[in-house]
Amino acid sequence: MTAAALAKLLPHACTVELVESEEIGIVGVGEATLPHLRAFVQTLGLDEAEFMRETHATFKLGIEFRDFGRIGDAYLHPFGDFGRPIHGVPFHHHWLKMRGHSLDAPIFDYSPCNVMAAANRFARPDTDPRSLLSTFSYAYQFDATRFAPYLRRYAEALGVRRTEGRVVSVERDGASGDVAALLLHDERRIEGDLFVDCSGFRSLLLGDAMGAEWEDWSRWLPCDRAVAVPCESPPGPIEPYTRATATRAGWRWRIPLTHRVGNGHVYSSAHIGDDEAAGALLAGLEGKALADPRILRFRAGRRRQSWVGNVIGIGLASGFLEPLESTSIYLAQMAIMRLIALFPVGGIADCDRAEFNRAVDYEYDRVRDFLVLHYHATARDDSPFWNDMRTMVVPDSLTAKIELFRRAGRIERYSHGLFLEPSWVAVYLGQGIVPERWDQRADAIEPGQLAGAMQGLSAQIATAVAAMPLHGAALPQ
Amino acid sequence: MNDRAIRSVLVLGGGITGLSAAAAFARALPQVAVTLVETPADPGALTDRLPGSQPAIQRFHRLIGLEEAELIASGAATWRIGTRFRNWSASGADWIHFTGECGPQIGTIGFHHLWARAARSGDAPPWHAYAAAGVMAGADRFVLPADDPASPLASYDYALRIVPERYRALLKLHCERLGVVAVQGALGNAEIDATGAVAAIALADGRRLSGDLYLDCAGPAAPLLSRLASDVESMGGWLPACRVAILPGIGEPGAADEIERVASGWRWNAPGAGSGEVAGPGDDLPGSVAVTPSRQRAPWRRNVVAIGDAAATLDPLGWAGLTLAHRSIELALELLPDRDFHAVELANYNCRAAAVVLALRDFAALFYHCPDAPDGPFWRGAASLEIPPTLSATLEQFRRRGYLVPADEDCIGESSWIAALTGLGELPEHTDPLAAAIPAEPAAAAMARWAQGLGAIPPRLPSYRDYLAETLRRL
Repeated sequence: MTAAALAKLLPHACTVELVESEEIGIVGVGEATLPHLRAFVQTLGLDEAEFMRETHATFKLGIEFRDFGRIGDAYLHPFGDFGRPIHGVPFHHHWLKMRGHSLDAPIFDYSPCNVMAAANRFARPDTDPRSLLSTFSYAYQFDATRFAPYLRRYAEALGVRRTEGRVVSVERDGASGDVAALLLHDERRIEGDLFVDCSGFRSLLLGDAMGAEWEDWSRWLPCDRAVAVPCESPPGPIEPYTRATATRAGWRWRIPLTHRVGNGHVYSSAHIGDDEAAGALLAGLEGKALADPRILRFRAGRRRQSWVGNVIGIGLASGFLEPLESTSIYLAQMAIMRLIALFPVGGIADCDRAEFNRAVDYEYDRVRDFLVLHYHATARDDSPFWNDMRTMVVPDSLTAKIELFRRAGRIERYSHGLFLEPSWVAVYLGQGIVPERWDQRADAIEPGQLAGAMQGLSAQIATAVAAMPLHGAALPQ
Repeated sequence: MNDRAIRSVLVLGGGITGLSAAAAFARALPQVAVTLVETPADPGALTDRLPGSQPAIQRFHRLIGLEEAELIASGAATWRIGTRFRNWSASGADWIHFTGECGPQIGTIGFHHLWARAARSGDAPPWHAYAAAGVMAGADRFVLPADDPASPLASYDYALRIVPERYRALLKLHCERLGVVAVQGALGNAEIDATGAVAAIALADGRRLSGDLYLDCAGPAAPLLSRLASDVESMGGWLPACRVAILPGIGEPGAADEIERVASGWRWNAPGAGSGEVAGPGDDLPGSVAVTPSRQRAPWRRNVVAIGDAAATLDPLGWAGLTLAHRSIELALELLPDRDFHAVELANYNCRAAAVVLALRDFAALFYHCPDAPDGPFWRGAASLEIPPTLSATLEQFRRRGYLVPADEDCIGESSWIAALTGLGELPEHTDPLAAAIPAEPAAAAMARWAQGLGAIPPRLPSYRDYLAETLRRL
């Protein structure tokens, strides 16, 4: 992604050399994305239909969470809004108020994404901002092992030079400490002005060479392993959403692609053994396994600095947050776009590094809180893992956010970055944190009038969705 | 309805700030009793006396349901499309500050990168020459923005130049329409209950008033909030302390206000609405008041929230006072707690309100670091001020490559920042690499076409004066 974006957007500012090794291969569990990836696809000028065919992609309207708040619960975190603000007051306040007036439809009935997902239907959002159907977005579910080669071909066509080889050591400038060159296993030497470390967890340059310190978050996010296996698609429609099902020591993912289903089990190795975790995954498959289960190891946290000297870590080399909300590719994309916005001009300045690190930290810290919420907002007491999660001391920033919502449904506002108000509302309400009261401005509207408006809204959504094509028919042929 | 909901609000301060708060609360919360206590005006409450606003005032008027037509028809306000700065730039040239779009959109590149490249390599016209607002302000012509989004006259912003006494009278009338009960009197004692909240206030004549929530809109002394506690942070290290004299406006209303740097400080004229002068703290400026930049670290305590000047004293530059007052009122409504006034809800308000103040502070501070100031004690004092670290990062990044550091709760907006930075003479040293990918020649041709197109607009437009007269005839 980095090489492709640099080659596309900054053809005059730099030449790009991609050093990678076939021996190491692609981790490729990141199969679920967020709507932001659409902007990336557009920025690169990729044809959406071609990109989707190449990567066996399906559309994604959100993530369904099962058994998180309590066993048997399910809700879909939508990539879109709940209703529309009324008199400038967010819709969920009106919904909260009307619960006391025997209008008890779930808030998810007022979200186009949720209704579309439940019906396995899909249509692109309306471009007219006045339309109710303009209030949602969509992402893709794709085969990451095909996305990387697709981008590699794209980047090479734009002049990126690809060097196949394994980095065995790093040569540093004695005076500045910057990386001067990479030395490969066959003694080739690759020089550069700027080194972008996309080496994943190994963090060869940022972590090993530059010694960027790791800030560990595993006390809040203890899941440290995943076992992944693809299986044949079951008969029936392809769901336009990813499913995350909580297990007794983690959660399982299910990502429907056009040609297969991606499955995985993310778990805490302190709470469950590898064999048991793999067994639970295989037992839940809906079709024949297409490969042997593969185990991945990771830990939650981030480097205290993602840009040190002339080395910039992007993706796992800079930090890792587990895939519960499909944020890995987003976080890489965010860092790439920030690098492009701060691409060195006339040498690297301290202010470039400072601003890049500030922006990256800001995103990671906030995404972390959102993920921790999924584990902490639970009534589950059926396993030591969930007992630990339910009773843990969460970051102070999250404690304040939860209390703010619990009091009166307010969401801490972000001027940019993840996650926005509807996402927080979905997880809070989906996992049983219901505010005690609501925005008092909602009381200005007479309940009978509001009930009529809300019923009209859900009927309008239901009618619009019924007229949409099935997801399978909407996919590029 | 929630049984801990706010039932009554007492607004302290009968100036523009207090009336604005009372109107906003009465309109958003029709079930709540709003009482306005019109305390004697504090001459130091500059926000109640200054003529300036930012385009965001239109959003506030929509919030309280006040029609612009009524404001114009009653003579309470006129349109302002820009501000001409004289003797206030690195080059000494006049420039026009405006908000809204500027320049042709070429790809997804911020136009200021292309303008900066052209400006570095020669004599590109000033930044404001590429904006409809800048061109109209320069030619003293005006029409309201067009509804047709394809028109070049659709994408500019304008603010309102308010005539303080008339504006206050109209707000007063509007408050009455909204059912606000007004009481006149000076603040006497405040009764504090066992929890540290205000239980009631007494007026100087002995009348006792109480409410669930108190809005302190009574000027920089924050007379009610300070009864609970006062944790004031000086901003005198960033903004110059000064004396401000407010005088009648000079001349007929026109498209732009004027601000001029002079040896003793600076002067402004908002034609038809007010003029004034800013000088050093020791200067003997007739009829002036002292301004000591500072802010309350916690403007919301228990059941008292300080709004506007009571929350922060800012420099008059950028007409920050009314912008702060409006934003504080909007935030207080958006984040209104119930009668428990839970600490986490107040902390959320205080955090966001502080960010609003700091962004406004940075914008005003920017102007005091412009080189080639006239010689005089005021400007020597200003030159010795430190630059706030957040502004320093903004300046460093803009000077380097035209990058704007995003800030939470920045009410200024990118277009206004760029107009000020470029107007004051900040020119990015390097071309952003994304913009550099656009060849200079076609960019120059597009810029020339754009400037030519804009230049053809003013002769087709009515003069500001004719347009205002015609509008008043129609209303």
